[in-house]
Amino acid sequence: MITEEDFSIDELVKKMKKPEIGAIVTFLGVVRDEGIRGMEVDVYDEMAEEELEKLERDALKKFEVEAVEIVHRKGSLKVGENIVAILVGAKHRKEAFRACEYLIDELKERVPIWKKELNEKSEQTY
Amino acid sequence: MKVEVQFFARCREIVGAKQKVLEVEEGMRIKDIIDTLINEYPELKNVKLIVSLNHKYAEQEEKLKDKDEVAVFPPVSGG
Repeated sequence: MITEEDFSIDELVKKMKKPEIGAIVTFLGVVRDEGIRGMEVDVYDEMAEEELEKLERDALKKFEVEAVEIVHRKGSLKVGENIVAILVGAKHRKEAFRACEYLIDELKERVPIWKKELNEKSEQTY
Repeated sequence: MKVEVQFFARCREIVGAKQKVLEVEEGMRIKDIIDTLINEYPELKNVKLIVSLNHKYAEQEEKLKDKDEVAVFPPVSGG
C-alpha cells in the first residue's frame, strides 16, 4: 500500500496476528541522517500499487508464509521518519526472515518509487 | 492515435512536465517514442531510461495502441 500518512508498526503487527502465526518479521526503513535534511518520495501510484500486490502474491507462493504486508510512504519526509514497513507472518521464523529479505530486495528493484534527497542548501539529488 | 506519456523523477525534471499527450502513428513502437523524446530533450540520453506500458514494464519493440499509457523514468529507488 502506498500512503502519505505515517503508520504504526504496532498497529500493523496487531492486524497481522493470527493463531496459526508463530513468527512475525518486520522491516522498517527510516530516513537516515547522512548530511541530508530529508527526502522527497515520488511514486507512480497505479503501477506501484500493482507491483506491490504482485510482490506480495509472489512471496506467498515462493515461501511458506501466512501473511505479507507492505506499506510505503510518499511525499516529503524528514530525518527519522518512517519510509517503508514490510511485515511477514509465518508459522516459523526461518521462512519469515527469508521472505522479508526477498520483499525489500525486490521492492528496491521493481516498484516505481524514487527518493530524492534534500540537503541543507535545498539542492536535490536522486 | 494519442498516447499519454508520464514522466517521473529526473525525467520529469528534464522534460519539465508530469505528463504529455503525444500523437502516434499506427504501428509505432516504444522505441520510436523514446527516440522522439530524446530528439526533443537530448538530456534524456544521460539517463538510463526505463519504460512502462499500461503499468507494466515494457520492451522496446512493443507496439502502441490508441489511448495507451506510457511512463518514462530512471531506475527506481524506493525502500
